[in-house]
Amino acid sequence: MKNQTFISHSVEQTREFAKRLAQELYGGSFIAFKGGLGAGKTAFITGLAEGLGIRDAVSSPTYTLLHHYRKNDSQHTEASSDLYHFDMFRISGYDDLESTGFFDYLSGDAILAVEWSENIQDFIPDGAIIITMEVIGENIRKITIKRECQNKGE
Amino acid sequence: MKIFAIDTTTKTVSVAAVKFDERDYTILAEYNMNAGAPHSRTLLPAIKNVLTSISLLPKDLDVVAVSNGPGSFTGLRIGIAAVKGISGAAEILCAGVSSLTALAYNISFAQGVICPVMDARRNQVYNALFTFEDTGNGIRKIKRHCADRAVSIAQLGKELEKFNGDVNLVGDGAELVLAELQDVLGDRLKLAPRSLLSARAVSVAQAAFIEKCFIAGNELIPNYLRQPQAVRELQESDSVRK
Repeated sequence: MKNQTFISHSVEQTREFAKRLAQELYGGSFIAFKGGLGAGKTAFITGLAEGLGIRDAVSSPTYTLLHHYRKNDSQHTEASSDLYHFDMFRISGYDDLESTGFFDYLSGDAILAVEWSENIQDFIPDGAIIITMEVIGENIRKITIKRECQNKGE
Repeated sequence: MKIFAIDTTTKTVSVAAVKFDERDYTILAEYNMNAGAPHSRTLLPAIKNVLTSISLLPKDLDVVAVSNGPGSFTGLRIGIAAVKGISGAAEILCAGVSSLTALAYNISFAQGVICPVMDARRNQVYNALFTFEDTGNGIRKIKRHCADRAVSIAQLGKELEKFNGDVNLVGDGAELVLAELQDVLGDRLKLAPRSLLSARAVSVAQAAFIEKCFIAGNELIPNYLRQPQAVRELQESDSVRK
């Protein structure tokens, strides 16, 4: 996935952009969102899910911490991966994070999308896709995509 | 007594139906899976498969047992929820056993210290120490030497230096601990046979049968050893209110 910036003028544009971007995701992809309230992270993830072929409805996990959207249900053909959608707004520290099941899902072949990733900065894996969403006008959002590549020297 | 047991504390899903009489047991059916699929998808079909393969309904069971910690938060919640559901719906008692006690039963034949270790990340393991003693009529009795705890591998090494004899490692952290403590403990470290390294529902059933702590479904609670986020938040808001 190449680094890029997209200016969105509506919720629909955000979703369509995310839907196209989903084609480049695969099992094990990790997306870390940065951006404040109302920036459209959940709208973006709704588009991602659609692009992945997932039929489960997407909603914000502010109070539930985690939503799991399945790659298939009994009636429909499979999307390529499950999607785990986290909201780390209320997460503080390692024990909190572990209790959400985060580390269990990290090693599987699902796709993880994490809102408020700023709260778990230390645990974002190498190769994560960082998506920053900024409010720059009433319906306007600046969406910046960057791949995280850290060389951890030993 | 027929005990139905499950273990979802690690990446493995294990389900077993075991028939006990006072001196011996028969494994009626056993299912162990470690293929990467999440417990939320695999557990209930596994339970159904085991029961239907031996033509049992939940109400035909005497007790349903589960390892209730320590282990993966997600795994524990799924396993305990399933057992509470079965227990309540079939109106049978349930039992919660320590996942570390169950792991010890995997290698009840071993001599020396039984050292179950479960990977708790950040170079820590969940651990407790046990021995088995011969009672003279062919049965080995378990003896626990400390409470379940999360401990750094280095700290565990220091404690084990004080014991004599073999240290038998079992659990999904066994190979990690073997590698880390090889220099400190050398030949004393023994790895359980590969087929007995992972969590087994049969051992959960054995522990439940020996302990005989049978409770109602709504009394069964998890023992995380670490605090989940919801509990921390509740405690913080309680102290703010005071």
